[in-house]
Amino acid sequence: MAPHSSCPTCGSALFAGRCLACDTKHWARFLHRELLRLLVLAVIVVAAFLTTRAVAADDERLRRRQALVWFELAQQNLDEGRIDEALTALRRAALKDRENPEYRLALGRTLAASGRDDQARRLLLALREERPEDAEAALALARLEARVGSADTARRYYEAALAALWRPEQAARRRELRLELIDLLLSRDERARALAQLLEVSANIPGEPAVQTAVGQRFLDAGEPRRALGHFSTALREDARRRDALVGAADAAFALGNFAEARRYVSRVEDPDVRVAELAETARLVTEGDPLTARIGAAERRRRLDAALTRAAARLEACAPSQPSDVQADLTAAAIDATTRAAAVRRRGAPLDAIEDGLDLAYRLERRAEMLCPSPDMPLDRALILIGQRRGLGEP
Amino acid sequence: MTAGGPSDVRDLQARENRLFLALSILIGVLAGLAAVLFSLAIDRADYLFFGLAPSPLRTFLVPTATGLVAGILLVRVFPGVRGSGVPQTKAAFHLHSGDIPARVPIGKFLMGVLCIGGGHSMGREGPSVQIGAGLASAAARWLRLSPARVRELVPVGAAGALAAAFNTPIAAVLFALEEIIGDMNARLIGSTVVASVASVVVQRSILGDEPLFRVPAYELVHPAELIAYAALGVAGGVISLLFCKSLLALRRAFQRLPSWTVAFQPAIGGAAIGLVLLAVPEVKGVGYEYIDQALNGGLVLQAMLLLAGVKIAATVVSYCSGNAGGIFAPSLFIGAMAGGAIGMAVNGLAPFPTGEPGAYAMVGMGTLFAGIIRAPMTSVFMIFEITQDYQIIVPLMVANLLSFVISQRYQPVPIYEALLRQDGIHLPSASTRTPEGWAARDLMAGDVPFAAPEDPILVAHARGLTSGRPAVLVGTPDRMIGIVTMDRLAAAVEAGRRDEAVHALADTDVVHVHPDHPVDVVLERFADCAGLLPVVSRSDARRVEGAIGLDEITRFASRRGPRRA
Repeated sequence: MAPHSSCPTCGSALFAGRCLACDTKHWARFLHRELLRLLVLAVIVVAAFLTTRAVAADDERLRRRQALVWFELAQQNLDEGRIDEALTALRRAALKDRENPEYRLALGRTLAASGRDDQARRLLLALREERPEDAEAALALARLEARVGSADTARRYYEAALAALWRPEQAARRRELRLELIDLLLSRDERARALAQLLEVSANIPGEPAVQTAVGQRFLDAGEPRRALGHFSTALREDARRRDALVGAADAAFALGNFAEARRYVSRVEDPDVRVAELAETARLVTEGDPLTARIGAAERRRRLDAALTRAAARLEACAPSQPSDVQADLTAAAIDATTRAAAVRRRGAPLDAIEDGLDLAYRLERRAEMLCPSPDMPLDRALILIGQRRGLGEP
Repeated sequence: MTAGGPSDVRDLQARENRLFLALSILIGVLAGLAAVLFSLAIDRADYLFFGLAPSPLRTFLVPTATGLVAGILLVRVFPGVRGSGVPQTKAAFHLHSGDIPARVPIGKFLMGVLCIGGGHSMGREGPSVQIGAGLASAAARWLRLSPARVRELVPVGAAGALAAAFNTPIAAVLFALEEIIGDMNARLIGSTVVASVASVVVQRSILGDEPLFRVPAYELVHPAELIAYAALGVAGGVISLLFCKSLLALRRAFQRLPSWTVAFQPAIGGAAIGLVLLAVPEVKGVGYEYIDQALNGGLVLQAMLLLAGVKIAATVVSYCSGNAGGIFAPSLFIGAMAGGAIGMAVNGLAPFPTGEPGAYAMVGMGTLFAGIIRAPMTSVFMIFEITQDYQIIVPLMVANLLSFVISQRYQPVPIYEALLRQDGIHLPSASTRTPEGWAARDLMAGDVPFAAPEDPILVAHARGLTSGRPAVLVGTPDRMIGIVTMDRLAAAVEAGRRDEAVHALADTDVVHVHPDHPVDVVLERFADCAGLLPVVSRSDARRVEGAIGLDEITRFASRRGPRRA
């Protein structure tokens, strides 16, 4: 280490511009000064840290406010149908406040709604990965996959959403989610899975008419009219005039073959629409057209059978011209037979088992006509078939 | 033991070593805090100047007005803080023993907030590097460390600042070694790591540990995709060249404007940027929001192509007009857009399975960074750290390498050094740096014949004859403008041009060396010179420190042996 020049104080050689002799002579002062300055620097660093942290906290508050403004603007744009503007605003909101998953969730939903499925999927999957316990991202993915036709994937996401963490006050929302899944399963004719979910949901639902009706309707769609009727009845106990519950109960009773009960339900529907009116008419025809109904007189029984056979014959006659000649002849012969039988029924003294045979004939003829000429079918035709099915009568 | 003896020196060095380690930690923290504060200040300035949804008038006026204020301050108060800050930091490290005046980090902070917050299309990472380096230099000088230690703390401060600016501790260390020091084997690696770690710890304690960009886990989908990524690398290299050439050309044009316009050039740039922002507001400032969209496949092809092109133009204008800001973030922006656009094209055309356009955007960022900044190792690690996606690293390396090679082939001088050369500053390159052995300064002689530019040819000829040199330098020792050979002077005298000014004969393209150039470089260049090889300062390539002629070389050859320390 070669010296470069001399110290003006003591004349010793300098090293890197410093006199080691003078420095080492005053070690304590030198040491203290250096340490003191280092301590001062450390204090400055601490002060800088505290200042920066305060500024960062203030910046964070500002960013959150900005994010909220962008989010509200996005909602406004969505309400007004401006999807692209809404997406821009949501992206800004998500960037300004990265901690809040609601913005990214809203962005994912909006991307999905605007058909940008790949982007939506990526974002929602990333969100789900960050917060696997949160149901919303899984739900959004489920709806996206259901919309694009990936039903199995959608089902898995629905199930994942249902299995996520839910607070007690979110029970209604969770129930709605389960009903969405049930609808998906029913749309794919996965009745067994749908029924499993229905049993799950029905085990713990409040007595609110809307909820009971919703569950009842799905039981009906799943082919469980008895359970459906139970829920509709519960709903009607709370709200006897609830239209959808009355119609649902009528449908359920109809499916169970309890036409009188169905008729009672539809009679309570205010302002019945075409379908309800048809339902009511069919229920009336069934209850008033079944010749095997208990506790009716013989004359009434014969009248009903006469009407059934006459109607079946008329239907066959109407159907025959549209059929090939060999079938025509067969249908015409069957119609004549039915007419003859009807005439025989009008004569007094026809025994009860003849009534049953006659009804069986009418039913089979109606079924044959239904297969050959599905339309038009009159309410009486439908009623006769229902009567035959209810009575367990044979197929042609 | 007498005072000043060997053990005292060892004690002093041991004390300095301990102080240096403690200081590295403090500097890392301080530089990191400065970078965080800088970033927050820019965001706040942006909000104050523009609000959430600025009107067209405001969009135009803000960059113009801030450019006007910045121009005046840059001339009168903070003259050394234009541009990125990385070239200046390198110059301070290599040429000025790490001496960065305290005014520089303060000025860079204020001017950076004004310019970038005012809408200019520039990055904040380069200024952060200069702020960190400046703080380190100031602290080291205040603590009366030796000049060598002061110098060594400059890259430590730079690493600390960059680590916090990008949240990339590894890349920051690599950048300090690769770009600031220029030596991957530097013994400062320990200090830069310490500073980088300290900085990031503090930064994450304040801002959290979220990566800069949230991206899906992209990966190489099919081996044939490497062809597509290679094409991206080639495209990246071409775009890097376009950017660098444009930057240097426009900067040269601005430098040629009259000196009285210097204070107004930032405002000119600001007005141009204001007009651009009216049409394409996406290129305002740093642009991380749109990089995020490109990485997540949120932009269409046409948008990405437009943004890539406009960002190049906007950044070139902002930088060359003299505003304070960097080119890191714009490089990433351009790369993301170009990469994303190529990704969309590949998606549509490739006969093999391909990844998402976002993957190409991510690789594109690194590609442009490698091609423009010319720091390939840093670019690979930087992209990995800011996205935290390791799966894409192989395509990233392939594309980066191609971009780097192409850029280097057609732009041999890296951008930062090219910018310094435009300012008359020549940095030592790795091949010319030599800590030991004979250098030009050991050969040069101080007696250099000069002729003033207005001197008559006859006078210059006479001076040359007196000196016995084969050529005469035209100008002054502080400002050489050219060289003229004695043969040429003699011919001019013979031709009757004795009274003409000598500058008419001067060759302005002067072959020269710097004092630290090794002897082999001296000999190589001597063969191309006019018989007299000027030795010029690196910090001012027109300041002559000596000259080397045949006599000096002959003397060197006769005495050559191991150089004494």
